[in-house]
Amino acid sequence: MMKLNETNILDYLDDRLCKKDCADMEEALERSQNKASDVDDARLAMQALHALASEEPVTVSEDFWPRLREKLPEQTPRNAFSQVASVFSGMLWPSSSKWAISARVAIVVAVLGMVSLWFGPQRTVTPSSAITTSEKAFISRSMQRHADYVNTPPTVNSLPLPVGDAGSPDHNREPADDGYIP
Amino acid sequence: MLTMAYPEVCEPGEEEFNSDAWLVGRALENDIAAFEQLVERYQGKIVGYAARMLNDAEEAEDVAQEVFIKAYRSLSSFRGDSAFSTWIYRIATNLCIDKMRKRKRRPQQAYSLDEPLDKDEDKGSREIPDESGEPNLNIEKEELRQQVRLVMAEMPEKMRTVLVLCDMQGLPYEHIAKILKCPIGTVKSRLFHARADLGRRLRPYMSGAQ
Repeated sequence: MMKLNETNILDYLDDRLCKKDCADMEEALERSQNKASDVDDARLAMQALHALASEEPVTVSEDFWPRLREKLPEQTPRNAFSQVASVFSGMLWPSSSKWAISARVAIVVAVLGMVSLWFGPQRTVTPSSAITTSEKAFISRSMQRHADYVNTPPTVNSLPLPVGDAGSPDHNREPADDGYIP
Repeated sequence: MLTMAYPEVCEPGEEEFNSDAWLVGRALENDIAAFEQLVERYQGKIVGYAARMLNDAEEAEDVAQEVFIKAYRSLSSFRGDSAFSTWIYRIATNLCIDKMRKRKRRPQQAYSLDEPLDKDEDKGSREIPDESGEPNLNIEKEELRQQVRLVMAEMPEKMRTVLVLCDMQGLPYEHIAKILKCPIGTVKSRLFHARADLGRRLRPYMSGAQ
């Protein structure tokens, strides 16, 4: 059954339906008085408009072009640069199609990304702590022992610091057998 | 360079030579004769379109001149994605709609047919020549045409535009959709409702004129 939508009705009015569809349309219009009335009104309007267009043709005056020519601005000669620029602008901004819009967005995002990489804040490397907490404790104990040793007056029974002790002046020196007491 | 700007026109063959795209390319090379050809090709259509939209034949030529001046200035922005006719009709549509909106803001100046043409010399009133031997039929037809103009002048711009483009300019729906940058379904919907509305208001006048 033919649907009474605007597209089908316009095709019917324009005589673009085949015989079968045309018959279906007329059958459908017989069942719907409102739509039939709209179709009659539309046909009336088309006849009136076609008559107006044919009975009152619009003519153009003979001096249309001379008058227009006087008003046209002087065109500057296109140099090679402007021609190349227009070609490339045509490639970059071809049309308002979805693909063109997507291309423009992608180009803008790429440019912004490059700018942010180039001019973005430099990464600061925070040097990790070279000395752990336990190492810090060991160093402070060693320094404290050294300070105590330096401040304590020597006694008879005091023994020299072992060679390996960092506080010993013989650090890194081979132990001697000469009984030298620092 | 012409080849690069308009790649579809490599060497103008018989079909491409003198086509709109080829003439646009020539006009961009400062060939004013090419633009003149384009004007001659479309001046009738654009003047007619403006006259139907504005209901004023005198103003129609001025508007058509503005259309071509605007087209000339913007020729470098015409990329050839759509047909030149679509582009020029689009410019004309926008200018006509602007004029109609300005008119609404200004009070209409009415002309009386009984008023003398030149008040100083008092030459007499305007006369409309009757070229037919059937005065009654002429009057009824003139009344009908007057009513058509009146109803169309009161229509919303969008509906009026599709009516003029389709039923008076004879453009196909696809072309109208490209000019107005709307889907074909929208064009058909507006056209259907515009025709039904116009027909409904003309019905009392049609029975007498037929």
